Amino acid sequence: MTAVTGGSGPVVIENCAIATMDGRQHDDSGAEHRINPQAVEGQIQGGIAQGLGLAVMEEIQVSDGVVRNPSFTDYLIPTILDMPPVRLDVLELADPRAPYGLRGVGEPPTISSTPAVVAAIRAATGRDLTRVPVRPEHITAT
Amino acid sequence: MRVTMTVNGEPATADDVWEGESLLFVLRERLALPGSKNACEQGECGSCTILLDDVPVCACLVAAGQAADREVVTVEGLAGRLGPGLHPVQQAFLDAGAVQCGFCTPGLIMQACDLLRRTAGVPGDPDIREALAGNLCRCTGYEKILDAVRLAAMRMAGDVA
Repeated sequence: MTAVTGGSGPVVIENCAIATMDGRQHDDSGAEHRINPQAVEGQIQGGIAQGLGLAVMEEIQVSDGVVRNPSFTDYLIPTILDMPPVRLDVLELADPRAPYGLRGVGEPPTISSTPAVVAAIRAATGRDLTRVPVRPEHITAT
Repeated sequence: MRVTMTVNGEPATADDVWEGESLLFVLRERLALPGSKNACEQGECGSCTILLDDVPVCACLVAAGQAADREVVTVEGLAGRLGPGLHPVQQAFLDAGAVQCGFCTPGLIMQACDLLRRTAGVPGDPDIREALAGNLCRCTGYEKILDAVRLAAMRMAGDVA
């Protein structure tokens, strides 16, 4: 299980640009011990980056069967300027239902960080925001 | 056409180069230097970053002819430049866990080398982020890349072993 704290203001919205702050992630990823602590952290940080991308940037736009944004010019992914510092507490708790107590580590933060960011934007704006990525017009309703 | 240049300190010649051929193609396909990665081919991702006369450029955006008689340094040329073994930036990327799939790594290392060459001491995080803003990474979330650049800077400044 992975939880990303969100919803109580870890985003700053200014001029329709969204800056995420303090992507704090709690991940009980390990079995009793992380086999490769550095890789565990890297997977979590990288997963958060992908989830952040889905929350506010990444969308393949298709019309009439043609992908309209087939390059990094118009399909944006987070750059090093977009990523907040990611502070981690990795809880080494074995999964009682899995062989050897194993847990995966890559996917959970990827999945959970997107709703965490959007929940935070909801809290900051009071808007429903029922789709991702959240675009500026979803916040300004223009 | 024939293009001659200096690559990683050695003279290099490529024959039958098409006028529109990129420097990246010549490096990878004609000079057997596949370290510089071919990804977006439009200067958006930074994976093909090299040094051309000590200036970082996207090799995909430089016509091979533009590199004639100039000096090219690729990631293959870093090891041994500042003493035996890997370049401090390369070693720091390994030690900090800044490499996951590795595709962006050569470009980031070249860009980081340029930053540290023109920075006295350890650059601040905003400077590191600014310098690496043109290099996309899909895997790492950049945190350990920042760690690696800080570590390399401290080692090069003699602050840590």
